[in-house]
Amino acid sequence: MRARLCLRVSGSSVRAQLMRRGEVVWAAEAAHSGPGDLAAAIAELAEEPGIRRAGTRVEVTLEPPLVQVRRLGGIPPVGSAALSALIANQAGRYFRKNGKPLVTDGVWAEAKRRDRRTVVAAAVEEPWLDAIAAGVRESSLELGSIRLADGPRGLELVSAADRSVRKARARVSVRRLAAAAAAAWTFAGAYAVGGLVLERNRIERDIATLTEPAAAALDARRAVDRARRTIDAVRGTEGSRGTATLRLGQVVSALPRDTWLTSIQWDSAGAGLITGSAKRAADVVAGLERAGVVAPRLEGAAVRESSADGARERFTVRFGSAPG
Amino acid sequence: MTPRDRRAVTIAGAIVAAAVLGLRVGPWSVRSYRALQEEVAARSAVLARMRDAIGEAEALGDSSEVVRQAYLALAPRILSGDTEAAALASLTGHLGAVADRSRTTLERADALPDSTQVGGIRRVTIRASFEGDTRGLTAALRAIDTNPIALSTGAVRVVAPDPASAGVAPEVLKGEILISAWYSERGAR
Repeated sequence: MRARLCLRVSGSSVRAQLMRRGEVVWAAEAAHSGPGDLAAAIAELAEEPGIRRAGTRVEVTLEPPLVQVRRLGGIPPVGSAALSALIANQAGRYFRKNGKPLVTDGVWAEAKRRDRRTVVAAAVEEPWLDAIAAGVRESSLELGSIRLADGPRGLELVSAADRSVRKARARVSVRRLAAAAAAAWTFAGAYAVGGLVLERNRIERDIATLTEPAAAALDARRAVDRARRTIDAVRGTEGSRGTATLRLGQVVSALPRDTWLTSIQWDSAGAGLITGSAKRAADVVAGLERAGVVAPRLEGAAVRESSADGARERFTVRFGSAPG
Repeated sequence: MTPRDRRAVTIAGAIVAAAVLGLRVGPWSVRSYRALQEEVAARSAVLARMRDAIGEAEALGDSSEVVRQAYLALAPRILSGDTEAAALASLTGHLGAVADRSRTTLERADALPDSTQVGGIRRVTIRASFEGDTRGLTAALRAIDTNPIALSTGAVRVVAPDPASAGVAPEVLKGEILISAWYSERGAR
């Protein structure tokens, strides 16, 4: 935290306190006879070792009767900058001049804009401010605020020359901040893009390295998959072997002994057709049912015919699919 | 140029610069950055797939050798010949041998269209017509089932052309069987 040198300037003396981290670490007082030797008094106080450390900021409080304070009414509700200009233009009307130029400032007493009725205005003769600024400059310190004792916050009594210097310094600060922000964004963008580009290059290198091994691995995998499918297909074929023989045996063994077959056929789904003749067609269907043949049924009526060994019935039996 | 003019020019220039930055440079930068991000993500996914493929291939290890041995062991169970015509000829030859062994006659062997293909093998199908007695046709079916070549039977049709001659003349049955077998196509091994 920066050290602060607080100066309280009255009409005959200047008291100094060096503040560091909120504590008073040094205090002294010097007398002066007016603006003519105030600068020398301030410089003399600043000779104390440790004060001229880099960054020490001087905050000045002016005590009466150096400062004239007025409460003014009937001021139009303007903004703070316009109010300062308005009071400066009318300084002779509100304050005693004593033949010396005045530095003025004013703030609204009321915080809310719509309540603004009273202005607290203050004025100080410019030679006092010039003397303070000269003393601070002579001590190679940085002049911070100049306020009045027991005055409202926001009142800043700064000479015209110092005000323009402060404005210029503020502009430079803003520009530096803007440049720093732009640089930070540019750096962040470049960092992000650079990181991605490096990542992409690394990935591309890895891909180039792994292309051949990956292609070989994929080929091997495809070959194994193809071999597995081939093995499964051949084993599936072998697993279904014997079905035709079994089915034929199943059907033939189920038929009554007196059956003469004309034809027997079945498809790959197991549905089929038997034609032939027997003593009783119904016995054929019953025999097939007992043997577990799926859904045997006569197709059409059995046709009776006579043969050398007696009457027979010519039949057509379907099996293997539900009757339609 | 008065300070006021300079200020106006400066502000106008700043507005133009901000507009160009905000409406052109900014969106272009965001688009380019996103495109780069997507490209990196896509290439990263490709790399991950490559690594997975290599990892899986390493993990296959012994099982791929087992599969290879099993695949090689299939050779005696599929037809010789690496074209459809050669495979059909081979299958017809095997069926001729079946007919010889089962004392039947292979009357016809008609190739049927079959486009089935699995892995590195294709299937051929023949409608074979055998003629013989009950014992012969049964033996032929058994020979087909037990053939060293993996033959599969589909539809079967057995007809007695002259059932009235039963007991009078020698039994004659005609059997039509759909028979399929696999062969290894050229270039697919």
